[in-house]
Amino acid sequence: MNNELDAERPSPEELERLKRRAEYFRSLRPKRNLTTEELDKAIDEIIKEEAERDRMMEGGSAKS
Amino acid sequence: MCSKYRGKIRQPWRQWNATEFQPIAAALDGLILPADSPFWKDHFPPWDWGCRCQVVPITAEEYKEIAQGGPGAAQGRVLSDVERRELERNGRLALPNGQVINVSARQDEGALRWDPRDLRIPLEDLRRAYDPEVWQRFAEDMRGARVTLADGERGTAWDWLLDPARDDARRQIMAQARRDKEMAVAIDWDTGERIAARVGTANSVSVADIIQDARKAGRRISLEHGHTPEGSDLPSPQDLMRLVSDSDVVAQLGVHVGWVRHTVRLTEEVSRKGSERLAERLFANALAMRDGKMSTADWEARFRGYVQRGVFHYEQRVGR
Repeated sequence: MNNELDAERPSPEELERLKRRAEYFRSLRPKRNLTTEELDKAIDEIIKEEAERDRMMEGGSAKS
Repeated sequence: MCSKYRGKIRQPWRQWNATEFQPIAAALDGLILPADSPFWKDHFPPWDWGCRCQVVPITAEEYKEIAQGGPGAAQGRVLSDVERRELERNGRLALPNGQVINVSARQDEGALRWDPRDLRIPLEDLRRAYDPEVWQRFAEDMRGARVTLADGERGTAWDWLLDPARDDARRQIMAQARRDKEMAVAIDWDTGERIAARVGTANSVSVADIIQDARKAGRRISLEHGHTPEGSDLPSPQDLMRLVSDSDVVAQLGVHVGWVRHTVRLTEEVSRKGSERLAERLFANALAMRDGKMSTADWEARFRGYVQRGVFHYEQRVGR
């Protein structure tokens, strides 16, 4: 089992990259806890932005 | 005092010192075994609620003196190789008077089992030791208490207590992945107890019945599963949809991909209306992903947006 796991061990460079990415996602979090109102507003914005992006992509693929 | 804690090389033995006369604790009094004996893995004080026994390190010189019947011999008890094997394998201890008693690791109500290499006591053992009201308060406090975990990540004390159960699930999920099998494991969010596991071929593992059973039983779960490292290794739109749609049951989701463990939770302050709208959007994303209308890069950008806006609490941990 340990040999299998060791065989899957990423290279030191890859491990560093994974750790940097984990740190990047940690840095994305809001610095404070948001209220219900703020989160509901954020969800509305997400829905609007994603729907807009979908429309643009569909438009793009229809044209092509 | 400090000479006792210099480490395994200079103090390769350990001795059980009983300070109470509960029958098994008394039977173990003075017993000396190698520091790396498997016996210590599940026999280490506190071994029972209120147990005040101690295990102390013994130097090679002290051991030799006791084993050879020197002045300190009365303070300790050394087993023959045969007696030691019987104790380590079968939990049977031969007493000096010839009587053999069973000192197998206790599994009964109220017994504490813990590994001395780790400060944690299993959540289930802790829960048994408290009455429900005190346990509820303890759990609330631990969910609010912030600690720094081994990798520098800040988490709650509850995350830390739940980690051994999740690590255990992770090992099995990864072992199944090596056989091209998928595995899902449900861990009780309140006790750390594993309540269900499913193994199947790719995309055949359904967790709907696990969630349904947990809902009926009024339980919340940490749902752990693996992904094959193809395409995006982040939690998928389906994963998040499950988390949002069943947030009354699924307290958190663990996604295991290679050397990375992803943990994602819906932020508690999200309203019911907000979560319903979000679930609809995630459903649309899941369909787009399935139909090849959304690229991996696009999904990753959307996922980052959710984290950035605080809708989900998300963390990655790198390691075995």
